[in-house]
Amino acid sequence: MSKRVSLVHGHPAARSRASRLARTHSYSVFYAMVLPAFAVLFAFSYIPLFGIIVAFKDYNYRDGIWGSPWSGMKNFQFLFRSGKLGLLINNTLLYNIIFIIMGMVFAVLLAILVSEVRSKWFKKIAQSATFLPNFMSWVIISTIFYNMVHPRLGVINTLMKALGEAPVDVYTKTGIWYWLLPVLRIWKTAGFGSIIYFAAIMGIDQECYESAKLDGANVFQEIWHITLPMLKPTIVIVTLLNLGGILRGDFDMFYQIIGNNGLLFKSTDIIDTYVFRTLMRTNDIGMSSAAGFFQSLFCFVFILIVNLLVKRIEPDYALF
Amino acid sequence: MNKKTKLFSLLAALMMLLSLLPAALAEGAPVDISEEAHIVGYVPGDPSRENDVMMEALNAKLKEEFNATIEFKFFNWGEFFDKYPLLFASGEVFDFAYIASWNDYHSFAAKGAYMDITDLVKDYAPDVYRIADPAVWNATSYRGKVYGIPHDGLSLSTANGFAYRADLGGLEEGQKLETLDDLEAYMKAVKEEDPAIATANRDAVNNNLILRYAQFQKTGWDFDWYGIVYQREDPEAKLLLKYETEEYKELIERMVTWKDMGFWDTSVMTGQDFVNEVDQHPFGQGLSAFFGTGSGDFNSCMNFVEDYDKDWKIGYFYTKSPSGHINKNDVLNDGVSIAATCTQPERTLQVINALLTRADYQWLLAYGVEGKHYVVGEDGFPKLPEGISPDNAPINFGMHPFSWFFYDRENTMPQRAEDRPVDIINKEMDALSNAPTLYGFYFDTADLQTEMAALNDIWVEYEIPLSWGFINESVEADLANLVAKQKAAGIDKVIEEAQRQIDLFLGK
Repeated sequence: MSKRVSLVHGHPAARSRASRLARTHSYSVFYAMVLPAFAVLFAFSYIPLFGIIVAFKDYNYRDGIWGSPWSGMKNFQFLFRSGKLGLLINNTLLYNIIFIIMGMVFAVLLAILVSEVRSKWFKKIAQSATFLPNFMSWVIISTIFYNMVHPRLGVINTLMKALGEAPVDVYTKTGIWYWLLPVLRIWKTAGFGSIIYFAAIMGIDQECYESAKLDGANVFQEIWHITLPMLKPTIVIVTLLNLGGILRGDFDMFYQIIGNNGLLFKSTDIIDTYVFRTLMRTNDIGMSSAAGFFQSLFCFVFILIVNLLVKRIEPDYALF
Repeated sequence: MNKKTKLFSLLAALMMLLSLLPAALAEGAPVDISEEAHIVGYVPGDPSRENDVMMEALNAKLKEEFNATIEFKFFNWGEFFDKYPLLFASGEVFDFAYIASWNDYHSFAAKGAYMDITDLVKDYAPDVYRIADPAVWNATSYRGKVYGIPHDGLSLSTANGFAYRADLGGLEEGQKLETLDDLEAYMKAVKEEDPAIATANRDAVNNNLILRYAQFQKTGWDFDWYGIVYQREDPEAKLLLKYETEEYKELIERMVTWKDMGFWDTSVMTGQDFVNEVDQHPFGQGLSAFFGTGSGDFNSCMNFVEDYDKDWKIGYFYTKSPSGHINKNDVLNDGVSIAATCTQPERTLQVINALLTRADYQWLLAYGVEGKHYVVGEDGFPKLPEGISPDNAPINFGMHPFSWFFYDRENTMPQRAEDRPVDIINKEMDALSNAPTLYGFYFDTADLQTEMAALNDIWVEYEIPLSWGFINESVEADLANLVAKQKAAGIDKVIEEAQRQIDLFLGK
């Protein structure tokens, strides 16, 4: 695509006039192609931005979003007065950092392994097998998981008892969830995440590998010195995009696996589950919007800072 | 047929005849019906198989009398709680909606979801207004305005107890579980017979129902908002925090013992296998000794045993307060409101008035079309036509969501004086039921949203595990910790506000 664009850009007519109108005209096909994406973004990302004002209103059904009276920062109070915000931010950040890093490591690993396999048959099976969990909903996974770890009747504990070992009750151990949840998450998403890296590997110029082979490099050296450096831009961009949602927990996962189990909240409560739980029965749209707005603001500031850092170190990789 | 039933059906026939004379007793304001009106409303549940046939007959009748047609839109129970708030948030224009106190009626009223019908109801639903007990209107008011039409006050005390397997735990013929000691001995015996059988009973949000009933038996506490209680017979309704009492500590200690005896494990906290239907519940699979939250659930168990030919025996456990009473059901268990977006409240109320109070409409809604969906037996009671059983009936016999709160039911909808086990239990409980001091009181928390959000969270994180006997340090320390968290969340302010509203309610 980039070659194409520079060609149009260098068109003599466009250059000599240099008028904006003419340039726009010569790009018209590209603008037309962007239009649907822009329309979707505008409709679903920009228009709802006005809804943020609900976070500052005492919402009622009669007056609607615009007519409801203003309430200042009252809707935000519950977040700060709960005394749990520290723990919640801590858990949300911690899990997301684990998910982003481990998710990236396993996705890249999987992509490299699959690309190095020569047998087409095995390649396909391996890709399908790792891909499949992505299409399972957390509801189903949670049921399977529950039947495995059930303290009395679960598969694992039945096995433990048969082997003469003491059964393990995961629902009383808070620490173990820092391991269990990432394992489940990676099992579900690594296959799907590896696709983008796999595509990037496919795009690496084969000549690099050929010359490396001529120089006597083994597979590991090829991976270390060619594949990984070539994947770096993709890794950085995907990671940056993921960081944009650093304070948004995977509600589906946490809610389905943990549910309302207060015994585990110390290590599993994230902002999303907390907001859902506290506001489920009050039906207060203003307070839930306030929580959502707080998350967005945090993510926005966070991504600005990270992007700034990336720009300092490696300007080419920055998002904007 | 006994004398009473005969008299009853005679009376019923008479009332039917009387009520056929349109609005003979009513003295409402005149309504202009020159233009045709289409009335749309939302109710929970699923339509019957032949709902369309029934609606056609209903609408033909309404068209002739009121120049109006009605349309019921159904919310499946599975999506009811999610979709109900969206209905109002979306600003949709419609006419009426189902209401209930257990579905936050007052909170929706506070947020302007319903229309203020304080004056309208007298003029346009005169029969409803006349029949309903004045106290009923008190219960349905929010800050002095009426936003809904409630039940007329005849509801039974049904939601109070749970079903158990009477053939387990070495129970003798006719032996009933009544006290906590009975329960303990029973659960112990069940566990010894088969350790795989669960002896916990919880609701959708993992509350320990056994503790709930145990608490009522021991203390007779009522209200119970995040642990704020009063003794149900106290005329002053003086509030206290139950976590600070000796009684509650003893109850929790008992729960710890029961947990340690292996009556339940941490799986009760996961909420994973919670279902409402007997056949899908572990109970139906023979893996649980307890099921449900009321005599209705007991009846489902009886039906299940019959349908599936199980040789089980079902018992029903419920508790009484120390004074030997149980709480009367809330009048707002079912009801209907006019939506704030309704553009034709007069026409809507006029039609609702007829549907709720007149026998001809009630029979049509509840039983369907005469001759097709039901026939009238010699005794004057409706019954299913030849060859149709309740399982394959095209109309859910007597179960239309709008039939749950018909008015003047005794006269317009004669119910057979049956003596199924559930009827016996219902009668027994009804004889024991009376109104606690705060019957009909609603706690207005609109100005306490921040506190409520925090308290709700503390309740899930600290109170529920404690109620199952899952202890961190010791019962005493954990209770103290719970109280400390609640104080930090502003429970004192909540108690103070609640007491203020209660004093107002009691006319002090």
